[in-house]
Amino acid sequence: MSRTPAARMRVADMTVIALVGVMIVIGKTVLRMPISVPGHAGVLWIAALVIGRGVVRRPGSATLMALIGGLLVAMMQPSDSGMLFTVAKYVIPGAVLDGLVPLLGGRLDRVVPAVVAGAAAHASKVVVDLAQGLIAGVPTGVLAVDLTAGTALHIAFGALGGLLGALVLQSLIRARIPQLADLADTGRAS
Amino acid sequence: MDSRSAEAALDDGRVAPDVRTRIAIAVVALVLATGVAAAWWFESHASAPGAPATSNGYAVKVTRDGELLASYGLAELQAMGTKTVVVQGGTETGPALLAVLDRAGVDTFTSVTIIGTGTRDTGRLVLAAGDIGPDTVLDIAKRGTVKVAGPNVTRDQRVRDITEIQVR
Repeated sequence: MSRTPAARMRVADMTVIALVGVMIVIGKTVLRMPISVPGHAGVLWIAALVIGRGVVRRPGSATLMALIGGLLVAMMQPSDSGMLFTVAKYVIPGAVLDGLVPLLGGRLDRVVPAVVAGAAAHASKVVVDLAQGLIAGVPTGVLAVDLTAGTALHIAFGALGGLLGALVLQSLIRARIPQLADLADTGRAS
Repeated sequence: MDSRSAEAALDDGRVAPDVRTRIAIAVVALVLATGVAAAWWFESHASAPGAPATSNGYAVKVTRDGELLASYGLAELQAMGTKTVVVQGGTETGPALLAVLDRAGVDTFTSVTIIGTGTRDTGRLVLAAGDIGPDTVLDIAKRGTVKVAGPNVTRDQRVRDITEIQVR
């Protein structure tokens, strides 16, 4: 029994979604750099999210990838903040990315939209961090310390992740992977 | 038109990349800039410059089996006497963890679990009694909170913004 093209596509998309979920947890745990700069890990997992959303190109796919990645991170790095907040730190950025892609022209292989989307997605993690701190009863004075630098760094690392993702997507388009073959034909991958 | 067909339409040239995309980029950039400005406002209003770090209500609790043994503000931690140690190429200054436990009346223990806010790390570290030496300190950070540092605590393991030390 042969599968329809739509069914094959769905399997391919699900494979990419699962792979990106794993890439997120690898980026967050295994490849974590020993530098004490808030948000630096975002370069890798935001790049993974941008690449995944750029390849799958289905509404909600970034949220799904982030959910898988978040669940894996929560299992591999259990923290006292609980699974809900750990997962939310990935799902919310994923949802922000999903929400922004159509507004930004739907092409994450273009540098400017990818940089902006990556920065906004990663910045939304700061909001989750703040909400977590407030709910945990952390004094606002403690939460506020270094908040400006933390927010700016999350934006910067998210933008860097978006840039990295866009460059990888451009390479994938040039390599004519099946999911992006139609974009290669447009000749606008640069 | 769903996003996939919209993207296909863009690719086909049927729909020119319109001004809406540029406006969206500008709006998102503006929102991000507003976010940074809001963070700066919150930071400058929540902690007045030069104010003592103790004014932020921060405290470290020492507990055993859920029972509160002691709670120390930053000034009390500093008053215990600070120790400066060099670990992993950095200088960390604060009271020794053993001194804090001793002050809380803890004489014997098998392990301690360091709990933090978890906003900058995993927020949890379990240290066996053998892992805690005289050079294991609660470093007093510029942000007015403490983090754990020591020869047996790698950078990745460090818990910042400590709120509780659970003794077992």
